[in-house]
Amino acid sequence: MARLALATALLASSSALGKKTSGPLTDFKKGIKPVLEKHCYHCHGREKTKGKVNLSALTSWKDFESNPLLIEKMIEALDKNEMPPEEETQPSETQRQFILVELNKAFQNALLQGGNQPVIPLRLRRMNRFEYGNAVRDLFNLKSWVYSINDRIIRDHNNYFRPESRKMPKVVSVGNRIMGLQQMLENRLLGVMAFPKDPPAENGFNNRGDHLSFSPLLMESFLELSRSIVNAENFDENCRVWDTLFQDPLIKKPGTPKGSIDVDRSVATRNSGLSISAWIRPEKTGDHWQTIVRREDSWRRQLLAIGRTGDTWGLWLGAGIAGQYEEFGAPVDRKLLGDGEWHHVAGTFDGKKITLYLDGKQIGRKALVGKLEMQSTGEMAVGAHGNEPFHGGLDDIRIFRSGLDRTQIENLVAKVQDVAKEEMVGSWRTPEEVIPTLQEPIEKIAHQRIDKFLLKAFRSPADKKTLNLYAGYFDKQYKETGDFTRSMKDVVSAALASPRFICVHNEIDEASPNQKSFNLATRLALFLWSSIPDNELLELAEGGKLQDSAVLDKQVDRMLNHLRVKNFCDSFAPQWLKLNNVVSASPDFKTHREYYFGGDDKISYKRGMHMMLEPLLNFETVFIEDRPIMELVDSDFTYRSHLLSEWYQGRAATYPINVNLRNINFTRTPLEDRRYGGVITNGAVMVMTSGPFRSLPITRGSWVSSVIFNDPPQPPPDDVPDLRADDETLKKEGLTVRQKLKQHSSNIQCASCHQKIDPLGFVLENYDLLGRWREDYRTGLKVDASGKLFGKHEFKDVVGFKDAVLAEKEVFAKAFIGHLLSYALGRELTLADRIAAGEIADASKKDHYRMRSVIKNVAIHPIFSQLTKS
Amino acid sequence: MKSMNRRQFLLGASGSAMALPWLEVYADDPKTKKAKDPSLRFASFYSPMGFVRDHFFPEKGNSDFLSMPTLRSLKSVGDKVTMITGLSRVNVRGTDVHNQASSCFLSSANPHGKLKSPYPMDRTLDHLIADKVSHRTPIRSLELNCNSFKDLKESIYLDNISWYGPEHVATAMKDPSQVYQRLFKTRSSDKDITDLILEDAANFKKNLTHQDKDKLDEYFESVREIEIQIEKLNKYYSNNKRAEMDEPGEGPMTRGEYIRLMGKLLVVAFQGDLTHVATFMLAPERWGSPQRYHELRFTKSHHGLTHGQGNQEVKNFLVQVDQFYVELFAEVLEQMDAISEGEGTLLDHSMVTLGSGLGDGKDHTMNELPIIVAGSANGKIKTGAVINCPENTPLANLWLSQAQLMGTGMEKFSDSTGPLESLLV
Repeated sequence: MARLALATALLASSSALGKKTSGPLTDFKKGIKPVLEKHCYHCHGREKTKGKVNLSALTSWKDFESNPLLIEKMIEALDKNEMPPEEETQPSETQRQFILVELNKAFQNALLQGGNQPVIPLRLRRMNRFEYGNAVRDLFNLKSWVYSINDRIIRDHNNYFRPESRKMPKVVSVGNRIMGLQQMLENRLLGVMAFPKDPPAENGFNNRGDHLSFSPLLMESFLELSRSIVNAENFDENCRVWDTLFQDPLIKKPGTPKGSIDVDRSVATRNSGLSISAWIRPEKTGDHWQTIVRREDSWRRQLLAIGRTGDTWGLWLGAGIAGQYEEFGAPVDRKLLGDGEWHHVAGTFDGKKITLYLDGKQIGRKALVGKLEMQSTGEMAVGAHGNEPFHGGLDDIRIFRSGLDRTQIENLVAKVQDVAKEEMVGSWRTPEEVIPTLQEPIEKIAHQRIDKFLLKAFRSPADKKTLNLYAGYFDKQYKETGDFTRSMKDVVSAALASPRFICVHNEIDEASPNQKSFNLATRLALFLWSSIPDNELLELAEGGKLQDSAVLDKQVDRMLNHLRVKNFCDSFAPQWLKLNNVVSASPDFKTHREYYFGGDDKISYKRGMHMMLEPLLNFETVFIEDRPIMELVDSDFTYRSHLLSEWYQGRAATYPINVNLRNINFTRTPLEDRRYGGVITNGAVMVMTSGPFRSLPITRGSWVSSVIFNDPPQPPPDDVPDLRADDETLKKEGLTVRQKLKQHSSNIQCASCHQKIDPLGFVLENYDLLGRWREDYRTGLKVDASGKLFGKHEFKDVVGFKDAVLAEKEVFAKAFIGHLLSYALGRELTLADRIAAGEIADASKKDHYRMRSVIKNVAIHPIFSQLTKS
Repeated sequence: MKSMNRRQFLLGASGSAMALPWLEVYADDPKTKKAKDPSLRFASFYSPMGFVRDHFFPEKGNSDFLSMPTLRSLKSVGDKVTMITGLSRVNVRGTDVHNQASSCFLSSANPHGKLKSPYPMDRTLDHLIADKVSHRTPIRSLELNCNSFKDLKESIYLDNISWYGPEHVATAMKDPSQVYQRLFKTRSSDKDITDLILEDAANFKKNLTHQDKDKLDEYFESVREIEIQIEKLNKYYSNNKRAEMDEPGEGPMTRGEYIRLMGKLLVVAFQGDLTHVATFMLAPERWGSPQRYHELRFTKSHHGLTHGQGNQEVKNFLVQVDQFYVELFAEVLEQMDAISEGEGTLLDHSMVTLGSGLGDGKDHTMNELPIIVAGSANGKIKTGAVINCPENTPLANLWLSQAQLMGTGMEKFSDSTGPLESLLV
C-alpha cells in the first residue's frame, strides 16, 4: 500500500517541516536548480531516473507544485539524510536546509491550491464489534458487558483505572484475556453472540470506514443481536434504564423493590457528614449480607446493610472517611427485625462519630474524627449489590449530606414532614405507592419514552416521521398483545437494527437543528469512548452549545476523565503497538522451553501473557498521569509482575499448572536502567518481532519504523532470497546476522530501504528472541547494536538510541499524532491531513506533548471538530 | 495421511449422510422429452502462496501430472481433472504482492486501470455468476474460509477471495456450525421489523451525503438478501427433505477435520441444490503466524516455509503442506463423484477449480499460476489432460470461460483476451 505508506510517512517526517515556512519562493533557476543539478540530476534525470523520479523534467516551481507527493518524498529523503546516498558528494548543511525550507513552502502552496482544503467529513460506516458492544452497554446503562470479546486485552480486577485521579496505583491487579476462559467469564448478557472480529487495516486500526462494510452474513448477525440482547434472560436485571423504558407503568415491577437514587452533586462538594435513613421489612434474616443502599466509589463507597460480619449480626454503615474505608456495625436482634413489621434504620456520620439507630433508638456509636470523602456522584443502588440483594420490603429511603442528630432521627421515625429538608440530597420510595392511576394515556407515556430512547440510540433527535414509525410500531404491538414491556422490547429491538444505530454517521446539516453539534458529539464519543454520546453531550448538542470552543474544551476534559475513556486505551494502544502479534508468537517449544511455564507440552502458558500487559500499563500510566508522550519511549518507571521481574533478571520462575491466571499483580517499578521502560524495550515487542528460533532484526526495524515513526517500509521486492541466518550457518560462516544481512542487501535496490530500517532493528539486537538482555549471540559473536538515526544521531546501543529519538521528539510526536488522527477520523490519512497533523503537533508542543493535550488537540482541531477556526 | 478414512467419511456416522433426494429438476423436460442438463455448480478453491513448482508441474511435454508428488491424491478422480498451465496475472508493482494474490484472484481485475482500492479489485467471478444463477437456488452463494487462526493480525485482503466489489468484502463463514445453520435452519421472516427498518433506512438515506448514500446501499442489499433467502429456504424445505447430517459440535478439531467438515458442507449444499456457487479458502494468504498441522505432526508458518524452500529440509515440509491441501481437495471431489445425479455424478455437473494467486511463494511471481479444474461442466470441458496455454495467458481468460459456461453471457472478463478455447470440448 504505497499510498498509505507514503502519506503517513510524511506525517512523521522532518523537524524542518515543523517550521513556519510561509513567504515567497526564491527564483527557481537561481535558487534550488543549481543544487539539484549538482547533486540529484545525476541519478534522477537525464540518463537515469532511479526510483522513476526524474527531477530534470521539472523546470519551474509550478511543475513542482503540481506534484505534492514528490515534494514530500524529497523533503523526507533530504531531511533524514537518505539522499544523496552516502557514497555521493553531499550538499552543505546550509544548502540542505535551504532546499528543505523552499520545498516546504512549495508543498504548502501545492496543498492550498484551489483554496482551502475541504475537511473530509467522517464517512458513514458500521460500528465495529468493540464499539457496538460499548454502545449497547451505554445505551441501556448495563451493569454487565454485552458480550465477552477478545478485543479488550486487559481485564481490570481492582478498579485501578481511574483517569480522574490522575494517578496510577502502585499495584494493579489485572488479567490478560488470552490467559484463557477465566478472563472471559465476566458478567455478560447470556446467549448474546458477538459478530466476528473486524480486521485491522494495514498499519492502521479496525475502525477504518473502508473496511467496515455490510454483507448479508454480517447483517444477519446484527439482526440476531438486536433480538438476543433485549431477550437475554439476564437483560432485565442488568438494565439500569429499565424503569424509564421497559417498565409497564400500570404494574408493579415483579420481585423485590429495587431502584436507584440519583444524589445531588452537592453531597460530594458540600457535605459535613452523611446520614442514611430507611424503612425496612426484611423477609430473611440469615447471615448473608443484605444491601439497603450502596454506591460504588472505590474505597469511598457508601452503604447501609444488614447481615453478619464476624460475631456481629446487625446494622452496618460504610463510608470513606479520612482517607480510608470505614465500616461500623451495631448488633441487632434478628428476630425483632424479621418480625414482619416495618422498622426504621439509620446510620449517621457527623465528622466526629458514626451512630446507628433502630426505630429511633441509638444502638451503636463509634468515635471517628475526619472528613467524609467521595468523588463519584453516581447513583446509589437500592436493595441490590451483586449477590447481596435485600429480601423484603424497603421504603422511604433518604440520604443527607450531614450527620443528623437524635431528634431529627426520631422525627423521621415519627414521619414528621420535611426533616432536615435542606440537607437531603436524594430519596426513594417504593414505586407502588406512586403508580396507581396514570395521568396520561399509556401510549403517550410510551411515545415519550421512545422519543427519549431514540435520541440516545440514534445520537440525534428523531424527526416526526421516524418517531411515528417507531411509535406506530409500539401501538400496533401493544394493541395485539397488551404487553407493554414486550412491545417496548420489540421497538427497541427494531431500533437496534436500524442503520441509524449501527452506523457511525454524519447527517447533513439540514437533518435537524444543531445537527452539526450532534455529529460532533458522536465523533467525540466514538473517538474517546468507542461508544455513543452520553446525556450530557446530547443535551449540549441539543442546545447547540457543543460548538462553542470553551464548552468543547471542557467536554473533552470531562471525557478524558470519564471511566469510559478506558475504551480508548483498550482499543488504541494495543492496535498502535500491534500487540496482538504476541498472541501468535511461537518461540520453538523444544529449544525455548523456558518461554512456556506451568504445564507440559499440551497445556502451558506463555510468558507473553504477562509481557503484553507491561507496555499497555505503561501506556495507561502516561495517559492517566498525563505525562509527555516521550515517556512512551523512555520512562523511569514500568509495571511488572513478579514473573516478569524475575524474567528480566534472567530467572525463569516456574509456577504450578494451577497458577492464578485471573488476576495478577503488576507493581510499579522505578527504573534507573534505561534499557527498559516505555513501550519499545520490553519482552512483548521483542517476542513478537522474533521467529521461533531467533530474533528478526528486519522485522524489528520494520516495527519501529511503522509504530514509532509511522513510516512503514515499502513491501520488499517480490524475489527476496532466504537470508539463511540460522545459528548453524552463521557459525560456519563466522558471521553475525548483521554482517550476513549486509552481504544480502548489497544490492543497490535493497540497500536504500535497508539503510533506513536496519539500524532501527539492530539496535534491539541486545534483546534475544524472548526479550532478555544479551551481549553475545549464541554463536559467541558480539552483538553490534550501533547505528545512526536519520543519518544524524549516532548511537552505540539502545540507550543511545532512546536519546536519539528524544532528540528528534518532533518526529516521534508527529508520527504518534498521525496514528492518533487516523484513529480519530476512522480513515487513512491523506496528504491534505498533513497540515492538520502539523498544527496539532505545534499546539501540543507548548504543553510538552503531554498525552492528554495531544489527544485533546486532535479532538478540538477543525479537522476533527469541523469547527471553523475563530 | 493414512489416518483419514474416506469411506467412513463418505458414509457418515449414520451410514447415509449423503442420502438426499435427487431433485426433480433433472427429470426429462416435458416439452422436448430430452433430459435437461443438470444445473451446473461452480466452486473455486484457493490455496495460499502457490505450490512447490517442481512437485506440481510435470516437465514440458509430460502430460502425466497425476504422478507429480503433490497431485497423486487426485488419481482417484484423475479422469475428471485437468491441469491448466501458462495462466498469469499482472502484479501491480510497489504494492503488497500477497494482498493482491488473494484479493484480486477471482476478479483478476485490470491492473492498469484506475484503482478504486489499494489493489486492482472488482466484483469477483463467483458473484458475477451468482448474479445470473442465484434464482435457481435458495442460497445465493457460499463463501467458506478455513482460516483457523484466532488472531486477526493480518489484513482483510489476505483473508478473502470473494468480494462484492472494491472494498466490499463478501464476509466468509469460518465456523462449520454457522454454515450448517445457514444450510439447514429455516426461520420465519420478521417482516414487520424488516419493513420498519428498511423504511427507516430510506428516510435516513435522505439525510446523507452522496458518498454515504452509496455506502448505505450495502445495508439495503444485505437486509433484502436476508429476506429473500429466508423466503426461498422456507419454500425449499417445504418441498425437500433435510440432508441427514449432524450439527457440527463445539469440540476441538484438527486442521484436517476442520477443512474436511467444511468440504462436506459444501458438497451437501451442492448436492441439495441449496446453492450453485461457492468459494473456499483452504487457508489465508501469507498470515505470519505458525499453525498446527495436526495430521502432519508439525507446527509451522506456511509463509515462512515458502520463503525457506531453498533449503531442502524446509522444502520437504512445504511439499507436505501442499500435499495436505491437495488431498483434502481430492476428498471433496471424490465425494462429489460418489453422488449420482441422473446419468452422471455431481462432479460431472460441476466446475471446481483449485488455484493460487501466486506462481510460487518464494519468488512471488504471478505467472505460471497453479490451476487445476475438476468436473467436466456437463461434458463441456476437457478432463484428464494438461492444457498448456501460451505463456502469460491472462487468468481472466479462464474466468471468462467459466463465466460463459455458467451462462452469464459475458464476452469479456477484466483483461481477458478471449475464452480459453483449448479447455473447451
